[in-house]
Amino acid sequence: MRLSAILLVPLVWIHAILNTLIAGPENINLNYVAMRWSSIGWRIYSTLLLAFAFSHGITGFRQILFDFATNSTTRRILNLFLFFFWIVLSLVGATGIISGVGK
Amino acid sequence: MIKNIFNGVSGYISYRGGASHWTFVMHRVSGLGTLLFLSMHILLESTAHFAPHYYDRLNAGLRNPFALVAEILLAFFVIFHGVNGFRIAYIDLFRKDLWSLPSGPKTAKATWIISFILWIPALIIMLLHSLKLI
Repeated sequence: MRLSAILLVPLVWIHAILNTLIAGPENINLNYVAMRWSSIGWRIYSTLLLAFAFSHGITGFRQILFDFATNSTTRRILNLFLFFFWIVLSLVGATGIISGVGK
Repeated sequence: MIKNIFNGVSGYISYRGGASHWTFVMHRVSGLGTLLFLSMHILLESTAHFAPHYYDRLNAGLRNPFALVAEILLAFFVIFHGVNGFRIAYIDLFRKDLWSLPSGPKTAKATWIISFILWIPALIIMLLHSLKLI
């Protein structure tokens, strides 16, 4: 958690400042995404961001859930559910970033 | 579990722990809110690969006042979560003495102040973007 946390402050803030504050949401379209993803550096950046941010979020969510779910069966079900949620969305996102804009 | 959630949430509201307690609650609320956004964000951005013809339409659908308010709130969540997370990591790793009274609540209050200071320029820029002024 702490390692991802320290990395996420610059990763998320630069991502948000660049796309939301400098580019502006109304200027973001398929061409913009294609332009950003044409650079290997930004692809690596986005992949790192996805991996760290989503794992960090799922781990934090798990911590909150386990504060309330004390029963071991409930915890096992939650673990299974969270694991699939994490792996599916991570794979969907990573596939998008790595293979780029579709046709 | 339902009973635990009820007890937990009512405890979050009724516990009179001052600034430190409210930063703890806000850290959880902001984390959950950001995770909800992030899940939708991953799915939406992945349409650029999986369904490129829908990407621009989906994005345009998000340019409405409700989404703008949600985005501005999200900006505060992300800033707050980062600042507070930094405070927690720093104090826990290097200055454990700051957890105790009276410095604990002081650093918690500082978290709120720093977050607001960082959030206000973001708020202004986001509003200007939405009004197409920049």
